[in-house]
Amino acid sequence: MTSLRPDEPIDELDVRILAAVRDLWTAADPPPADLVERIRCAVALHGLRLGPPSVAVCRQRTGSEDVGRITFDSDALTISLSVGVNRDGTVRMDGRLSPPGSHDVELRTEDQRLSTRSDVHGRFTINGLRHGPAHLVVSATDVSLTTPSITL
Amino acid sequence: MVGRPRHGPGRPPTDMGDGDTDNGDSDNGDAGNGDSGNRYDQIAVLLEAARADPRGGMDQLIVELTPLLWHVARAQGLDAGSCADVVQTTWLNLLRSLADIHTPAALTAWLVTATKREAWRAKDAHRQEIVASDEAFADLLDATDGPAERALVSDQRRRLWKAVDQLSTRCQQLLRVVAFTPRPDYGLVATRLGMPRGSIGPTRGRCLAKLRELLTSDPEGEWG
Repeated sequence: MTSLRPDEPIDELDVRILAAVRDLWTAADPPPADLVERIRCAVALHGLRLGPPSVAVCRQRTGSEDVGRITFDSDALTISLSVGVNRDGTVRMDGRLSPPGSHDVELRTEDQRLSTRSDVHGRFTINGLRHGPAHLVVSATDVSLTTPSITL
Repeated sequence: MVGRPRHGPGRPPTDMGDGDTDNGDSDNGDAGNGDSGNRYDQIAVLLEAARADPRGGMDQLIVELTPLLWHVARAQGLDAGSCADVVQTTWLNLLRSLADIHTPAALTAWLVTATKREAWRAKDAHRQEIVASDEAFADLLDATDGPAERALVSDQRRRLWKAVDQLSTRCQQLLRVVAFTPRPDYGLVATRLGMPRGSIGPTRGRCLAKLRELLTSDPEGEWG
């Protein structure tokens, strides 16, 4: 067997072997599917007036599947969403903010941004949405909350 | 505007904000591979974006490097749920140190060290010792790929795992992390994981040399 020197620069075969090792571990033990979204959310919220970074802020609680209820909790604000499909196939989102208040609400998808404002009871509706990933940004007086990505 | 993050109790690891000063050597020479070079350059661009806007500009960096952090944490023998928290905490801690980090090599060094420390901190807290071992691979070997490629893929993987399995646990951990490093940099990662470093710069290293010998000496394999 030819002896390989550890102090040689890595070559093309080394890189191929490492790529195979990477594939091996990617298949064997991948990160949780929602981990990147959780981290993005935590980073987006970090430094806002939410107190210390909270893992709980960035977890979504899903209710029954057909209704599509999702709640995002944070120290400052809770966003409760129900998502339904209209007869024409578009998506309707009804939301409630707690504590209630009138705030700017923006839904961001890959190719559109739809803005509205919640009423004094914290309620808002965004209608005519297309299916796909989206996230919501709620701008209160001194807090801006960005939810992790949800699939409409 | 970006808020001033308040520091948690005793958090920022002070000896890691070494910027690029002691890692500049890692930038010498390419890995001899266009892909890894491109990835390194791409991460340099993403790092600049993150430095310019730490909260808004980190998205792509998080996508690119979370797998590396995940495997650093998992290689410390921590359970999956705790690893997810460790990786998230590490990214949040990075926000405080981003200003001192100028190159992808320095970023990799910082992230690997911080993740390892956070994982050990979590391990101490949980007193859990769950080491990913053969059980993880039992699933892997049964994993279904495209029907046509399945036999070949699993045969390749089986051979690779057989070779990896002959390495020491330390070598397995090290190669697992090196394989996810933007420019496969054995020396840099070895140092940050507290393992002996063969020499400076992106060299093959003892563990990769051993794995390569095992693979290329297999007459049935296709690594020759």
